[in-house]
Parts: sequence; structure tokens; C-alpha cells
Amino acid sequence: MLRYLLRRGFMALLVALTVSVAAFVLLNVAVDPAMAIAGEDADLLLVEQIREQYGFDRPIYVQYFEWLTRLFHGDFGESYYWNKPVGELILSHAPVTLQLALMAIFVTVVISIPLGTLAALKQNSLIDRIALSTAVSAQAIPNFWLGLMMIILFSVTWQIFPVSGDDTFAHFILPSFVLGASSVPAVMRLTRNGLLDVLSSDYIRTARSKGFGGIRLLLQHAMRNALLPVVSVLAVQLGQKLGGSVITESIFAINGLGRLALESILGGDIPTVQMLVFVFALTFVIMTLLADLLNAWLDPRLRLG
Amino acid sequence: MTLLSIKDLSVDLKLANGTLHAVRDVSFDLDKGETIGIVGESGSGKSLTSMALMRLLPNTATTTASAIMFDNEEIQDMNQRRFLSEVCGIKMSMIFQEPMTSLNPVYSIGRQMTETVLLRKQFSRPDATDLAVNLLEKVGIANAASRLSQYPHQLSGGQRQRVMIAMALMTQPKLIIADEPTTALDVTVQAQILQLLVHLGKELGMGMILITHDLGVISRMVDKVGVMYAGQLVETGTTEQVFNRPLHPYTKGLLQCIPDLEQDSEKPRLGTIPGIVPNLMGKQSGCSFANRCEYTKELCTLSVPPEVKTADGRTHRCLRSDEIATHISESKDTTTTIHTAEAVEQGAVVLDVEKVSRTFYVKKSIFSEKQPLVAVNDVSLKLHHSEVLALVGESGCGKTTLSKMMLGLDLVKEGRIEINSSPIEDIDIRERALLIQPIFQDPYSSLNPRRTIGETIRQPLQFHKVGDKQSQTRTVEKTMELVGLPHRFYHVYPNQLSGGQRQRVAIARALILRPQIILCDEPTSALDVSVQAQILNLLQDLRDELGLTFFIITHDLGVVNHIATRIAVMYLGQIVETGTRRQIIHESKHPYTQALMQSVLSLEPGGGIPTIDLGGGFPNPLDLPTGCLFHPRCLKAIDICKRERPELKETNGRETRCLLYQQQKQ
Repeated sequence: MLRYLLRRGFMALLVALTVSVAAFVLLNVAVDPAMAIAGEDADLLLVEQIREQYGFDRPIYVQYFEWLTRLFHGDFGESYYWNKPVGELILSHAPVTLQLALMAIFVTVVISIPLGTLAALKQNSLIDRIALSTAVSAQAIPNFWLGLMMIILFSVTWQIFPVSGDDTFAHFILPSFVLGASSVPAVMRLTRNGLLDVLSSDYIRTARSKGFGGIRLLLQHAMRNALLPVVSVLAVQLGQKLGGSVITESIFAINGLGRLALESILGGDIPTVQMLVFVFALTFVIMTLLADLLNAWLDPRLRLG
Repeated sequence: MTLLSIKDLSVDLKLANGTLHAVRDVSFDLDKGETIGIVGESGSGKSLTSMALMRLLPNTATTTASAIMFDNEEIQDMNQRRFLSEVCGIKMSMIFQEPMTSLNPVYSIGRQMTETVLLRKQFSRPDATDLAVNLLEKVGIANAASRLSQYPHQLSGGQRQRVMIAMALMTQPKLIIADEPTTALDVTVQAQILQLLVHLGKELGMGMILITHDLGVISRMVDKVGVMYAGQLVETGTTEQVFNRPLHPYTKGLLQCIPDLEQDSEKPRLGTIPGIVPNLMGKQSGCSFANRCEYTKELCTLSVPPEVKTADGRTHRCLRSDEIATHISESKDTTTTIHTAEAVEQGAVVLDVEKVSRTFYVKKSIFSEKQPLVAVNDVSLKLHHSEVLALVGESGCGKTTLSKMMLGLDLVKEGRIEINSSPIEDIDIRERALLIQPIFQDPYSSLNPRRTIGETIRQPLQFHKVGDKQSQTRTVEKTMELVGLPHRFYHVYPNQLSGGQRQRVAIARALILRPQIILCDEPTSALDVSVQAQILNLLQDLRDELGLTFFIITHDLGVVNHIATRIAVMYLGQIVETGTRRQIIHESKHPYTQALMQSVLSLEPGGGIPTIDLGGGFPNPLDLPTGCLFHPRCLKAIDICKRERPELKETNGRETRCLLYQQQKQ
């Protein structure tokens, strides 16, 4: 188990480093940072001055290592656009996104796992058909449309939930439903198919021959096997949501990381964008690592194999 | 004391195109401590019968019976809750065929063994654990206590099957149903597990239903036998009665299909049962065996034969039994015999394997060092024109790796393989295909499902641009005739054919270019006995008619004895013994060959399961033993075997790799 943990952790670290290089180099090559600070139509002399002042004239690997060293010291750089430390910016926007993401993944789990399980247990029944067609239509409906419809129905017509903003818990209900619903089709289908596979397996037949049936058979023998692939997918989905949903946050005027990213890009704020890309990627790496560990805990073949 | 009494059990399966009457009016009784063997070919309904007893059938199946009395109680109408908590898995346990997949991979052995008794509160947790350890020891698992915390993937197939048996015994059942308990295991392990089952059954006084297609197994270990055909029990009786004096023509046919080790140099043609199992859809109008039976008269097709009880307590379903019974019993040994002479004079060497080795490097994780796995270790073999050389060995011994190199599907890196004196890697791929062609084990997956039979057989001709379209069609038709496939199959897809017919297609495809050598990898192991007999006869005919040379890889010594002229035995990548069929089957020298011979379960009513002189399990190929590779399992091993690695020594045309004989000579 320890070996497995170390190996996975080491791999995750390598991935994180690679991503940091990519994030740094790409943005520095794509945009001239000095030009971005100076603004359009700026004097070339001024641009040169800024370039020298900020050290953009040095080789890119020197700049990268400097950036990385600062990163390790907790210095995330200074935003040109917001005139604030980037660390502070991200920290102030993160809680909102975190709450939205967690609530959204909760919505996904609560809808898709029971529905997928029911569909598998009653394969080809009415409920299976309904679940599958819901999945297809949910996948086809764009997020922004669903968001707008929800606002029109629940906020404007019936006035149950607030239209937009992120002040109270009630503000989060509609957006987290919209964001969570987008993951339902994938997770539900995976639950259904995984469970179908497991239910037709030889070891389930063995369990039935040992006198296990009904809910006991499902929970004690089938679920753990069926959920192994679901755990991985849920981790990826959560990673995506933690990266902030630009669309959902925009529609509901939620001031999270998605909005921050959007506005920083529009403002050409390289340090912030750079750090956000890195943070998003890191979140993904951590999520997959957690999923791997959770799977190893669930599946002895990974732990001991 | 009757333990189980089944009357008129039927199982119907609802399919998209109608109802399949998979089991029809099956009745039998079983006493306490008695073992009944149910034999039959695939699709005969033998597994469904047992699944119906355990209520394990899918929802699309309906089970009906006039009575199912188990342990003095009618269990048919028992409510599901009571059935699960008192009968299924408690008084009645089941052992399944697939040990590799029948245990839940995410739970420990201990948990899986104890969960039923804990759930039903038969024992407290410490008592259950003690019992589990006790039973694991009983089924021959070393370090039983430490196994409880292990997971299925940490055990070998044989060990897992032992765990399955121990698990089935946990609740101290009155009846054990074993469905092909050893079919997926190696022959050497098979005998051990069977012996264990019989022994435990008698010791604990359990009734047992043993379901298998293996007549050798049945003949040796059960008290009575039921023969199933097309969903019906066509004959029941004591083992001795059924095997020595069969009443039903199907039983007789089945018995004649089995390749036997007792037969010597005269190799009679195997008996076959012509035709295929009838469709089980719809209402039955006559005897279901009528279309394949040599004794069929008009009355057989008019009414369904009822179950008849004879004076000596047997039952059968044959309308003409009174007239033909004596004939069936007498004719048992008078099969038409066609003598195939042994290849006395050896022809020219067509395939020469010279000091070939193949080593794979395996990495356990990305950080560990590569470990060498020697799959084929310095193998030399010569295949002479028109002989049938069989390569025998347990799974994992390197047979298939060697065959891949012989077909040119894997590079020969050490040593060399020559076909007609030219190295195989120098032969053009197309030319090589004209020299050597394969027939693989599984006819279900080795044919392209989207190609018709005609297209499949014709493809090599198109690829090699042999003749025009018309002459190709003629060649395909001729080849189909040769292997016994009717012309109407030309435009048919593989899924419409039976296993035997598909294997004929594979043979036709291999033959169409008229190669010199045919390499068969387990050609009959996926087939039923009656079909296996047909295919073996066909291969033999083809050799005689076309002068083909065969290289056959198999683990089934019955098959080997029937068809081979020369045999090579392989163990852990090495050839340990070679010789003529007679030399190996009847005068084997190497202890490993001798053990293999002992593990063959020929028909012998009441013969019991022999003890095999073979210690331990198959060793880890990553960690080869010192000295003779076989010494850890060899009961005859002497001191020197641990230190010195024996060479393959030739005497009188046979080779043996064993220090025992080399010692004696010195």
C-alpha cells in the first residue's frame, strides 16, 4: 500500500511540474508580457523599459525557475490588471467556486447513482428507458440554456430562488443544479453499465448461491465493484467544476474563479492567468490522485497487485 | 433415506422468437451420502437443472415441477425469504466451474468464507474463523490461517477452486451441487480436486450432484449416473449399469466418442454421433434423439418416449429399448475399425527446430528491474513428413510460445527454425503461408463474424491470387466437401454454425492452400466429446488422404493417443521426453510424463481417482528451481537432481531429460 501511495504521489508530482512548465512557457511565448503591461499603442521605449524592469529580457528558463522559486515561497506574483497580489485574488474567489463545485458534485451523485442503479436493476424496463433518454437529452441541452430556463422558471415566474449573485445558500441552488446536471449523463451511464456487468458476473452468481439476495446482494457484493470506475470519473468531474465554470458563473453572476479567469484573460493579465491555469491543473492532479487512492482502498488488486 | 426427490422438473426460457424448452420433465432421486453424476453435452440442460434447484435462473426462465422434495420438505412453494435463509447456501451449496472469476475480487477470502454463517447466525465470528481455517486445511491449502486475509487475485486457479469448495462446506450443507468443478483446471490439478470432493462428500455424509461433460470423471467417482440429452434425462442407473450396459442409443454413442488410453497400436476410428442436437423450441413431437439415432423407426418420430423404469431400478426414454437393448450393450466394443499405420519409416525432415529459446522480460512496476522469464528453453524438435507430432504439457509450459515462432508470428531470436531446410525468417510471408497453416483452439472467436463461410475459406486463394473467381469457388466447394461441410453453408455466417462446424471451417481455411504442415493448437478442447470425435476422425482422414504433416499442441492425452505418431512432453519451457506414441503412452520414463499419464481419467466405473505422483504446484517461471527443473515436484528425485541440470539424452530413438536414467547407465 505504501509503495503504491509513493508511486502515485511521485507520478502526480511529475505531472504537476510538467504542467507548470507548459503553463509558464505557453503564456510567455503567446503574449509579450511587457507589451501587455504597457498597454496597446504604448511607446516602444516604454515597452523596452518595462521589459528590463520586470526582467522579461532574460532567457525563459531563468524566468521559469525564478517563478517556481517564488511559488515555493508562497509568492504568487502581482496582478497588473487588478493591482493586487495574485495569491490574494485567487484566495478571495476560491471559496465561492469551492462551494458551487461541491454542491454541484453532490447533485450529480444524488441523481446519477440511484438512477443508474435502478436502471441496471430493472434493465429494459420503463424506468431504464426514462433514465437513458434523460441522459441523452441532458447531454444535448447546453448549460447556458438550462441555466436561463431555470432562472426564467424558478426565479422570474415562480420566484422561489434568487436570480443571481452569491450571497446566500439559496443563491447556489440553481447554479449547482445546472452545473451538477451536466455530469449526470456520464456518471449515470457508467453506474448503470458497470452494475450490469457486475450483476452478470460469476461472483454475483456465487453470492446468490450463498443465499444473498435483494438489497443485501446489491450493497454487500455488487456496489463496491460497480463503483470503482465511477469514482475515477467523479474525481475528474469534480476537478473540472473546481476549475470554475465560466458559463455557469457568468449566467448566475457568481464571482468565482471562472469569472476571475475570464476577466483576467480579457484584461491580458498574464500572472493571474498563469497562476489560474497552474492551480486548475494542480486541482486535477490532486483529484486524480485522490481517486486513485480511493480506488486502491476499494480494490485490493490495485493495493496489493 | 431420500435427500432429494425431483419429479418432472421443466425449465422454459422465454426468448425473443419463442419459448425454449431447455429442461423437460427431469426426475431423479438422491439418497443421503450418495453422489449422482449428470452428464451431457453443452446445451443439454444439465446446468439449468441445478440452477433451477438453487433458484439462480434469470427472470426470463420459468421452472415447473410436480414435486421437489428436499430434506423432507417441498421446497417449490417455499417463500423466497425462507428459501434464502434456510436452504440456498445453507442446506444446499454450489461449486461453480470458473474459479478465476467466481470469487469477489474486492473482498478477502476470510470475509467471503464466513459471511453466510455470520449472516444466518450459525456461528459466532471467532467460531466461524476457526471453522474456515479448519476447512481450508482440509481442502489442502497451506498456511490456512494467513490465507483468510488474502484476496482472490493472490491465489492460483487451483487454490481458488479449493477455497470455493471450503466455502461451500462452511454451512455444513446436506447437498452439494458441483457444476463442472474441475473443467477449467489443468489435468494434474483436476484429479486432486476431484479426489478431495469425493473424499469430503463421503466423510461428511453429504449428497452430491456432480455435473460434467467429462465421462471419465463421472465413471470413476459417482454412485449413479443420469445422461441428459436435449433437456431430458434419457437414461439413469448405477454407474456400472450405465457405463457397461447402456440402454439408450445416445449413451452408447457418447461412450464410443471417447479417445481411450487403453487402446494400443491399433487405433480404431472413434465412434461419432452424426447430426446435431434438435431445436428445443416449440412442442416436442417424437424422440428428441430420433434424427441422430441409428435405430430410428417410424414410431420414434410419432410419440415422445415416456420414462420407463426397468426391473433393476434403472430408467430410460427409448421406445425401442426392448428390441435393441441387447444389441446396444453387445455392440459396445465392435466399432468399425480403420487401421492407421504408425509412421514406421520416418520421412524427410520438413520442420526443424534447433536449440530455440525465447525469453520475455517482465517488469513488475516501472521502477523495478526487468526480470527474465524463459518461456522456451533450448528446444530442439524435428517434424518428419506425414507424421503427427504432439506437444504435451500443462498450461504455462511454453507450448503456445513455441508454436507462435513456428508459424512465424514471433521472431526467433535464439536458435533457428527451418522449414524445408530454409530458415523461417528468410521465407517470404506468402510462401510461408503455403508451407504451414494454423488451426486454433476456439472456433467461436477465430472466425471473422462479418464474413460468410465461403468468403472465409476463399480468402487465402484471393490473397495468393490462385486461379480466377470460378476456379476459386470450385476449390472452396471441394475443400468444404473434404471437411464435411454442406455447400449450403457457403453463404452462411459463422454465428449460424455449431462449434464443430466452425472448427471444420477453420480446418478448410487452413487446408485450401494445401500446405505441407498443419499446426493445431488445442484443436478440440473447446468442443463437446461427440464433436471432438468427428474432428479427430477428420484430421486423421486428411492426413491419410493428403499426406499432410501435423503438429498438434494439446493437454489432452486421450486425444494425443488417438491421433499422434510421435509425442514430445514439455515442462517449464524444456522438452523433457520425446518418443513414439507407444513409447510415451505405455513405457514413459520421465517421472513428469508418468504423472501426466496417471492424471488421465479413462472410463473405469468405480475406479476411483488415482493418486498422482506429483508434489506441489506449478512453479513460478520467474524463479526457476536449481538443478533439474522438475525436481521440486518429483517424488523420485534424488540428491543430485537438486544440483545438476540434466541434458536431453537419446537412447533407441527416444529422448529423456532425467538424471535417474543417466545415473543408472554410468
